[in-house]
Amino acid sequence: MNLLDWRFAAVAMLAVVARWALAGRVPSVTVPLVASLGFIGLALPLPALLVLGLFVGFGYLLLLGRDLLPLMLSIGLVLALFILAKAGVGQAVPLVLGLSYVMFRLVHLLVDVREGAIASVPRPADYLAYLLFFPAFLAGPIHRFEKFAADLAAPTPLDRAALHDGVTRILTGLAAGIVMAGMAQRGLDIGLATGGPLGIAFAILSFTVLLWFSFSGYSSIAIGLARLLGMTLPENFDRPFQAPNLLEFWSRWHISLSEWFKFYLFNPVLKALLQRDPDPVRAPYFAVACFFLTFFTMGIWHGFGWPYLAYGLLLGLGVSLNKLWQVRMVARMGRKPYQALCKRLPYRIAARTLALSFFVLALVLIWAPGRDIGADALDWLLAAGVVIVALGVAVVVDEIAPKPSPPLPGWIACISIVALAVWPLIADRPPPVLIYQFF
Amino acid sequence: MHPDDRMLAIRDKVAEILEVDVCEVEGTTCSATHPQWDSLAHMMIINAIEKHFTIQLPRLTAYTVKNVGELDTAVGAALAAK
Repeated sequence: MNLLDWRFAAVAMLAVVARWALAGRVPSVTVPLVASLGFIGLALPLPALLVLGLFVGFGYLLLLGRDLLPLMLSIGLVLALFILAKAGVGQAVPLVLGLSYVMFRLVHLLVDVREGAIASVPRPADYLAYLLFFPAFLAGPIHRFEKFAADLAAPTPLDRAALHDGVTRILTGLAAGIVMAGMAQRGLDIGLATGGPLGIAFAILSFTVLLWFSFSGYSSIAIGLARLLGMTLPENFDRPFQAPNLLEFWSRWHISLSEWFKFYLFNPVLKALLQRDPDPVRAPYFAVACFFLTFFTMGIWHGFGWPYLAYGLLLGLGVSLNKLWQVRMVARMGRKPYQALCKRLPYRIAARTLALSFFVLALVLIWAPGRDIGADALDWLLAAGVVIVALGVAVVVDEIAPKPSPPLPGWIACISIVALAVWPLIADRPPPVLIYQFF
Repeated sequence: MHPDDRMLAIRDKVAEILEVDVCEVEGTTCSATHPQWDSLAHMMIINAIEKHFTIQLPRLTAYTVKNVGELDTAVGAALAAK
């Protein structure tokens, strides 16, 4: 089951009604917890439920006693599940998908409880509700416990504005995840069927569009639903395609994941290096190394197998080289002249085109392996060239053309409803569940 | 330590790392006012502040302070807890 499933919609609607109908009559955690358990009960088969239960249980033991045995058992379970998913045991995939996000939340709890950022071990009900919160279970956003607990204690009232915001987010998310992603899926199919450099270039661009609408759509649904439940989930995207460089791109794409890796990997490693050697001359190079480590890890998190290893290497190299470039340019030109250069239009166009091209072409490692595409190296090379030119043109238009005013949310909601009503009449297959390709 | 002296010491360290004059650094100084306050500069500032005041800022606080004013508040709390 996924967020586009009618059973999810039923759980969601019941949860929203119950949340407010029972407000003040039952503990605040009750409805989110019961709804989350209900969702997972419907989504996962029994063996997977047992495994998830064991994992979550061990996690709580770890929180309480920080004993090594639950940690080792948990790690063993996670590895077993990854192996199952790799072996193509389909039922394991949604579990592993959710499990990786559960793991992120668990690590946050383990670290922050130990360091006192979270005052005490959460109560079991709060712990479960946070880890398994059903809007964000499958694909995030990765939210923090402190905010979740605060929202449980004092949910944002479901007034007219909140209702409007929440419903609009859900509708636009559905339209993005079903209609726009569906059209992009068709683009991908057409590109692959056409073949040759132009067809492959079209496929490459279509996959990026598909990923964007699928993922941002899911995030919108999750955020909108949380809003209707009186809770807040963090935004996951902030105009990533307008980022001035690759480094900035990753602070705008899948923001909650980048923030998690920054909190629990990049910052601690960089701080440890700076404490050992605070020399300001070497500090930027420590940052380059930390960026490589962080983005390599983030890349291999996406999946199991050589394509994801290659993706991780590419991601790590791309981001760390971007940082190295900045470091060398500042050293060579001086900070203010370099900042002035970055603002000049030709430089902005070149930097944005390079960043977008890198991101789009790196994604080929995610979707192309395993497909019978029938293209040789020259086709791929020419296709890459076409992609870079196409993205360059798009960036030029975006930089130069006057920006239209965004439509009012009400209009967006209406258009989404129409699109969702019309799409089933012309779609020939269910919408792609793209996030199942990633962990 | 007097709060004014503490703030002056913090502004001094921040100015040194951002490579600006100390008079340019105020309570509202942040990444929005000074783009060179990136993730590296942030950790260098935290490291320098912790070393100067011989304190350990809580991780969440250290990673999420948004400007010099919040940093000053965090340092004050850490010094009081010592």
